[in-house]
Amino acid sequence: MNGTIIEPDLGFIKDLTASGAESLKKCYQCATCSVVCRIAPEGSPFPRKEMVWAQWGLKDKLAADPDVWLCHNCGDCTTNCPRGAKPGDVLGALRKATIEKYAMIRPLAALGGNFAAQFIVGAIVITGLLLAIGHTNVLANYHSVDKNGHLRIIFNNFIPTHDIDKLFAPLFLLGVVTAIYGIRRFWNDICDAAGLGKYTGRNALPSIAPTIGQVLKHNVFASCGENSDRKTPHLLTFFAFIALFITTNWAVFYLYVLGWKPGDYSSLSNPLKWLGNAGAIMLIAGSYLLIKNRKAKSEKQTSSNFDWSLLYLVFFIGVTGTAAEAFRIVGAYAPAQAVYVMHLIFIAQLFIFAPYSKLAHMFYRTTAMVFAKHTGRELKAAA
Amino acid sequence: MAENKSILVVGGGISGISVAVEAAEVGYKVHLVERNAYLGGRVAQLNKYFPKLCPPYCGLEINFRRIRPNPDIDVLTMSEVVNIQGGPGNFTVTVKTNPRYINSACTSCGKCAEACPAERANGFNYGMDRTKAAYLPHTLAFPMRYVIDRSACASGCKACEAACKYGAVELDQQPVTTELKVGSIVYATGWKPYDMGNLKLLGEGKMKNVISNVMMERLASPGGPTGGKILRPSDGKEAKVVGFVQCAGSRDENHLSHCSSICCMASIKQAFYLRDQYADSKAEIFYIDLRTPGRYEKFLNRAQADENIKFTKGKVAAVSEDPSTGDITVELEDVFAGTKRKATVDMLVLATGMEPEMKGTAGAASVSQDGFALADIQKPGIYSTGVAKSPVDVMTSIQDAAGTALKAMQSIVRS
Repeated sequence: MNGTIIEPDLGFIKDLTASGAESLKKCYQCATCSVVCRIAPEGSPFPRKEMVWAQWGLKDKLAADPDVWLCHNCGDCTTNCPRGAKPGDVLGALRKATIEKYAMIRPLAALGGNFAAQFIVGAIVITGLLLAIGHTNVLANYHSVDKNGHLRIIFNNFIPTHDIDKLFAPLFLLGVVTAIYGIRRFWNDICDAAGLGKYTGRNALPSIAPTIGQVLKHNVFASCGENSDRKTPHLLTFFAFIALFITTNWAVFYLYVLGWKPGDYSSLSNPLKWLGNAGAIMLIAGSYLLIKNRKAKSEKQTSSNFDWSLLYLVFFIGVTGTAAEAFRIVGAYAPAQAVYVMHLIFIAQLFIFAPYSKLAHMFYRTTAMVFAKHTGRELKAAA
Repeated sequence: MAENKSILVVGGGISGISVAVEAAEVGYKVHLVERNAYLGGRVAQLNKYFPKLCPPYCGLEINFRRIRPNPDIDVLTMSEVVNIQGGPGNFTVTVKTNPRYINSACTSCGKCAEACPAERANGFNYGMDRTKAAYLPHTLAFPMRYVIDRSACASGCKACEAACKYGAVELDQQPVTTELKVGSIVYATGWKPYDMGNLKLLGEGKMKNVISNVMMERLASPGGPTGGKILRPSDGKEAKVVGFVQCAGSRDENHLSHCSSICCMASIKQAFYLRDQYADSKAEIFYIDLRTPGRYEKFLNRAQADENIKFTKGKVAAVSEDPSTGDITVELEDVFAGTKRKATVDMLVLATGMEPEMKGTAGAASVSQDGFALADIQKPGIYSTGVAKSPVDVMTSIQDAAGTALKAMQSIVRS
């Protein structure tokens, strides 16, 4: 015994139990979880140690623990736990706590699992945009009839694309800055906790490319047992995001490099539209399946509002984007515009809350995986 | 006071025997109903009791000695209670007695078994060896009389009948239903070992050298399948490096949610069997918590003083078998070290817990979700004792039996 004095943070324990870890105190440290976990490293496995740290309220130790993020919520620990302590759910709640801890804008972080509040923030921003443009009647006809007498809906007439870009480009940049801020603090803390001291990230650069390769292939998911059905839907959603990110930048290229006008590339004959629509279908299918799988397992595993808000947000983005396009094609301008506004609100919500919602797992998990690869902490089988 | 001064005791293990003897010696008539062909239950199958490590027949023989001359104890082996009606002071109980096919003329000479051509798995040794279809339940059985397992006989075979010169074989015996009038009832139905087949993470009972703790008792017992030599089942090799997995099914909401209370002591005791038998043996006990309360702690201290008995905190959650050697490798997290570890052993003993026999088939008693009898007060005149009520050791069962005998007698006096 080295005489360490444990100072439990009772408020932290309460917060954890309120965000999906109410089973936490059932754990009696048998360590079945660490053995059945197929991705826990041999040297210092998880999640048994995280369970006792959480019971003791060791907030800082847990925030600086990369293992919380190496966990992919396979669910094998929860299935085999003899006490129903649901380690998988506890680690989920710990990830939420870490995201909050490293948040740059604290008030926004407090809304990370509050879909309604996030939606209101998004709605305020988009309402401001509409007011700035002066288009207060969403259902009015902003479009003109072409020479054949057909009404051609161009969303640019309703909300100019350049104005959207003026809003969303800074929002995106804010997200990037916030993510970098969080990643830096997280990185410093995990290096500190691992006894690496003042350790610059530069030494870890060679580990980044192989980690990204691993993420692209989703091969950690493949080693999951209980929740192995999550791999395909997550892969779909993940590649949908990539496809849609490419689509967006492609449009930016048309608009600002080639000098095209908004709407010039909206024909279905343009390959940009193929990629965009494929991305939308993958997004809807992926998020729908993720929601469905979680619902089917609701008895055994807890899904918190933190999980649901992101999943539904992604699903709604896919549905509204596709519906706006469909209404545009059939020429129903009023529903097209209404759904388009909803779509913009959801996108704003996604951008503003990306570093505070569950979406932030993208940065923190990748960082933790880079750290694990760099320090040789990862399990060889999953490499 | 009720006219009927009889008590029905269901189950002839150490608890039931104790209740029967205590009540009968006060002057009450006792019907002791036992499903097996012999009395003694799980205790009869032990090699030694803890903490003094004396053979269980020390205790059982004293009780048999008290039963034999007592006319107030009516022992009904191979019998089961099929129906109970009435209330305190006036129960009517229906008991079905299955045929033994051997009558009281049997002298246990063994000629029937010699002549018998058929074999059956020996349940007394948990299926680790075989007996003839005509068999003596075990060497110290009470009653000391052979039994014939007709389900193992070839049709029309009468070899045993011809071999018996006392006319003790009666192959045409039929089941008999008896009606008993009793004033109170005691359930002493005890337990069965938790089925290893349910333990997915621990080999599902499919690996030869992964055995349960009750099987280990038989392996170490002079009356067991190996004559008391601790040899592993796959190849009969001396098992010198043995692992013990605690809480194998116990304290687990997916299996038995209760602590079976005796398994820590049982594994320590079995580690002593091993250490006493082979000087170069090693035992490792993998536990979650060591539960050796009260004076049992000394027993634990004795084991801890032996450097060849190792205690590791961490539950075994993966087991694999080397197909060429039959060796077993376990996987666990050593909690104090904080690292995952593998250990390879000659044989692995699962400290399977006690599952109450009444689970699912409570009869007239009311039981908890775990299958243990609930507080006596819910059913007037019906009591429970020993492991039927809660998972306890032999010593506690015997103490509890005396108290329960008193309750059963009081109920008759009051009604």
